[in-house]
Amino acid sequence: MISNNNITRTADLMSIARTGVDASTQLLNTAGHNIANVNTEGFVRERTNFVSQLTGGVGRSTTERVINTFAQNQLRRDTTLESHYQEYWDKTSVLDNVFASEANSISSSMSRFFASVQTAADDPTSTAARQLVLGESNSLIGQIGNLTGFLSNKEKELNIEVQTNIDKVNSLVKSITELNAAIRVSQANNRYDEPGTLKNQRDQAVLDLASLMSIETRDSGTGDGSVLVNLSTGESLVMQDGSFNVFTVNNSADSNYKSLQLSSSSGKPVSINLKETNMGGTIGGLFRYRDEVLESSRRELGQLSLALTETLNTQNRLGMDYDGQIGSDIFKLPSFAALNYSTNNSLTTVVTGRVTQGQASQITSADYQVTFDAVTPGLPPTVNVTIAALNPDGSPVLGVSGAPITQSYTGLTAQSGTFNPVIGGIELEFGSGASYVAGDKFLVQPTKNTADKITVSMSRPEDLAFASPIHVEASLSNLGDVKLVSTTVPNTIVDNTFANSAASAFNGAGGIHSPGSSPTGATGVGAPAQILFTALDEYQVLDSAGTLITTVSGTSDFTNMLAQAATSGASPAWPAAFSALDNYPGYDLSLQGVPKPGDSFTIAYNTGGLNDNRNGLAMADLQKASTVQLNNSGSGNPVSFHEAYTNIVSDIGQKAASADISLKAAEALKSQSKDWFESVSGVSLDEEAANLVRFQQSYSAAAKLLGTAQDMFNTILSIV
Amino acid sequence: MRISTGQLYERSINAVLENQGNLSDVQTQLSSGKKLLRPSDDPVGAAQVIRLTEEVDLIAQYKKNSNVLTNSLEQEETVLSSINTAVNRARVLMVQSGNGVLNSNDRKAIAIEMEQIRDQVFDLMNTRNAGGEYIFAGYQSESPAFELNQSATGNKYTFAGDSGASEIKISNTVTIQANNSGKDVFENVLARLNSTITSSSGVTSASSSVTQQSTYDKFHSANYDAVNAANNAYQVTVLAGNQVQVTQVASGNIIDTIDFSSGVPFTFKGISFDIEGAVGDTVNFRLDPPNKANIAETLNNFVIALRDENLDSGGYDEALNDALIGSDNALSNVADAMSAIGGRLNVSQSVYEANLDLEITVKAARSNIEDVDYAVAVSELSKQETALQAAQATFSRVTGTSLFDYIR
Repeated sequence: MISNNNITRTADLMSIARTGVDASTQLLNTAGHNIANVNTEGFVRERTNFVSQLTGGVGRSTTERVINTFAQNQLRRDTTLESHYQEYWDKTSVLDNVFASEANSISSSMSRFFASVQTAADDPTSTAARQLVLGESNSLIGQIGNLTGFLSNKEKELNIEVQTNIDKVNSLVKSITELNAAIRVSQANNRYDEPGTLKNQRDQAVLDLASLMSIETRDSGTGDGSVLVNLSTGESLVMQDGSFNVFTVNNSADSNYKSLQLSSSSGKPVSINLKETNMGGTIGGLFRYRDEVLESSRRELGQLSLALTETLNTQNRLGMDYDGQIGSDIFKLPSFAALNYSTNNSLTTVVTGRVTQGQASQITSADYQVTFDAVTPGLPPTVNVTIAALNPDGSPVLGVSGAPITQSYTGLTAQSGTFNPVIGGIELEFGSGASYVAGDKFLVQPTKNTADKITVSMSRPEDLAFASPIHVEASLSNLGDVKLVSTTVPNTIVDNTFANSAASAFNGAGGIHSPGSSPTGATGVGAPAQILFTALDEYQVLDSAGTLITTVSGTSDFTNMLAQAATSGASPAWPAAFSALDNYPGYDLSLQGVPKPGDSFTIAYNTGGLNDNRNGLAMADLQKASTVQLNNSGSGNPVSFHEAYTNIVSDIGQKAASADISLKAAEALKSQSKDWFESVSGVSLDEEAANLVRFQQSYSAAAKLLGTAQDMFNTILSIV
Repeated sequence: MRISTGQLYERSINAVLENQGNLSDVQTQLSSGKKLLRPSDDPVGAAQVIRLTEEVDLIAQYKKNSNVLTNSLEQEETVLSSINTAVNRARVLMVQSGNGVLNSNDRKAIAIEMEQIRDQVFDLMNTRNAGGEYIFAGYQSESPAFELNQSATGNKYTFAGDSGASEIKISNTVTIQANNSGKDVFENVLARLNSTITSSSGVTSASSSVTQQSTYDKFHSANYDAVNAANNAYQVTVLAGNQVQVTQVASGNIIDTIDFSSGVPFTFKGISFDIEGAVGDTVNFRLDPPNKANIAETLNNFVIALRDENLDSGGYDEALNDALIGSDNALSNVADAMSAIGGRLNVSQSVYEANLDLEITVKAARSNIEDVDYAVAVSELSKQETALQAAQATFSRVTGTSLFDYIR
């Protein structure tokens, strides 16, 4: 308070000296406080300032923190950035290291598996070589299981970590609110001294919060010292009225896939869904790692495993095993239960999916959302559904044209045991019949949790089907120089009742359909069993009893002769009952050369063909075949198994590498802003040492003044 | 600039920590021999390493396959060469037995050796490999390739396998046939093509034999009709003016007109006819259906002829011709198979060598990407070591001074 009418120093020397001593003590206290707190996290150095009193002496002290708000804000932002990349890099580099390990490499397991197939194909009658194939299948599946198990454990850990961090956030938000209140009270009670300790604690809490998620702070604007905190995306956390918002962890249909919600502490029934990957900080880093690295690599690994095993199964089913039977599956692929959305009418309805046989190359890493459009009761009930492909984070997968990939199906049979093939190489069973309600939604995740559930179902090495089930033999009396080039067997499905339209000519009892047992009925012809040339450019297709099936004329191209017979065979034409099936008879042959009339070739089941390795070679060739979809829209060029695995590894490697670069940049930024902040607010012991000397001297001087005043007083007294 | 105490320590310790991290990385590189420690070190390189390793593994397997293939082909080659030697010996004996001065006892002696050769050849045709598989049985390798049935009416030595040929993959693109089916090598061999007089009218006597085999073979292969047997019937008609006319019965086409004198042999397309008859007489003959006989069968038939004391000289000559032509045809098939095997062995060898070259290239490429360059790494190590020592040394110097030390 400046007095404007009296500028005379009226204070006596004694009281001037007292204010000097007091002031120096105060200064020494502040220096001491600074020195004592040199190692205190979040401590901001303090300065005590004075104004001189008009009446003489020094006035009341004001102790303030030495802080630059801009430096503080910069540090906070850079902390968020650094902790975001730190977390993202920490997590990604774990996968990076796991995939780097040769011991974990699925690539070398696949190489060993295919090498064992080649060795066995070199000598198809060797049981030891066949046993090795089964051994390598088990080790391949074990390897896939290990890696997938590792990844699914990572997801569980991640969920725990998210929960822990969210708890931390909520407690920090709460303590910031409480500290704000304490600061308001303290500041109102003492207008000279800033409540530095409380503010330091509050700022430290804000900084801790900033390392967990990206936030912005504002001064309350009322001068009460409190700050308001909101997310960088705008949502408020700490509000003016002292209330605050808390985070809750939520599940979608997939209970292992957590999402975040914000709800008000004041009981207002408002909750806001957040975009987790935009959160920044440790939490944003976790979610980003989950969505960009973990979930996608799990699905890609699952996709690769399903495609690999189903492709091998398909090839084995097309062959003939050592017992002379049509091959069976090597691997057992798991079925996957679709996940019920909590908004469904009933949580007990089920949808089950599995991989469609032979559709390995259609499998993608996408999830699929099944929405029921209509349910028609009946016997059996039918349903209309729309299936949409989703990314791991729930966003729609975009097709080539940029539009979300969806597909609607009408009249699908809804009963147990009936699987309806849909997009993505999977088929769905609507086992709850008419209990679905239009609007129900299910989430199908064909590739997320399936890879470690694949098992090797084959136990006998004899069951490996290295032989082709069809053998074509030229008649010994052939005089022309026409030779067999190749036989193909694309279909070996056995169904002697022909209820399944995919049935082939194989009867499952070591033969092909003879007359009377083929689709043409009891009096009809059998499956094609002989080719007989009747002219240079004409051949007959006969059944095993020698009955004419059809005649093809005017062709000198003898590739896929049965396919030619099916399209251009005449007098009689190719039986309609054959054409009615999807792929009958399921085998074909190609010849080359110039025939002589009378030349014939018999087509028969490869009975006793134990030394045949044609299907084994085909199986070995799968190593280089392009059978895995590269992206989850299923529209790209497929790649080989090794390429697909390579893509997973290099994808993770590339993400880890860019995380590493971002982390280094963020660390540099943080270290700069920390330098800036520390250089303003940090305690320098040398400075305090100098101050100590200085304040000690001012104290001595003030004390000396007191002595002088006393001497003067004594002098006066002695005069009296 | 104002430096706070915290800053001073933090800077110094950060420098030490960073240098330690770098040093540890270089140390891991040196101890593991790899500069590509994890995919993130070089994502593209890591991808290449996986693909190159796949290639190296594949080449290793192809090398193994090549060995299996070479073994299999070499065994077959050895067997075929033994058969070749044996049949050539048999052929010498055949020619020897054609000598008219030999009596039936001499022929029996030859028959004994011929039987040995027949059994040896039959045994070789049923050769088994180390795995006990019959190598000439095609896919049916569990059972003998050739069977002997002494009481059979037709061929006694018959093929029991199939024409299957297994293949072995020796590079990404080359697949080579590892075995030849006995059907191609032995069974699909034409016996001597012949013709038969089916009927005659008016002639006093008529006989025929194929004397110029190659001329007849050419005619037979051009004209034989497997579908319609009637087209194989021909008629010789004695014409006025000392000529005969050969017509195809079904079409009535005149094939040839030849000078003729009764009782004097004349030759039509390699068939020598000996006809005694007058103008208007006819002789019908046909082109016999081609037979196939394997070498064991041919030898066996000749052994029977050698032991047959009742066979007249014409019959014996026929049998000898059958045997000679049959073994020539068999030898030519064996020779074809051997040259095919030789070709495959050559291809296999050159692919094997290409694989070796490729392996070196691929391994070098992989090594370039993932292996550490020791010179670079060692100098990097000493550089990092120096940096760490400097950081540690400055730490104590920078933090060791305090103004408090001077306040007494």
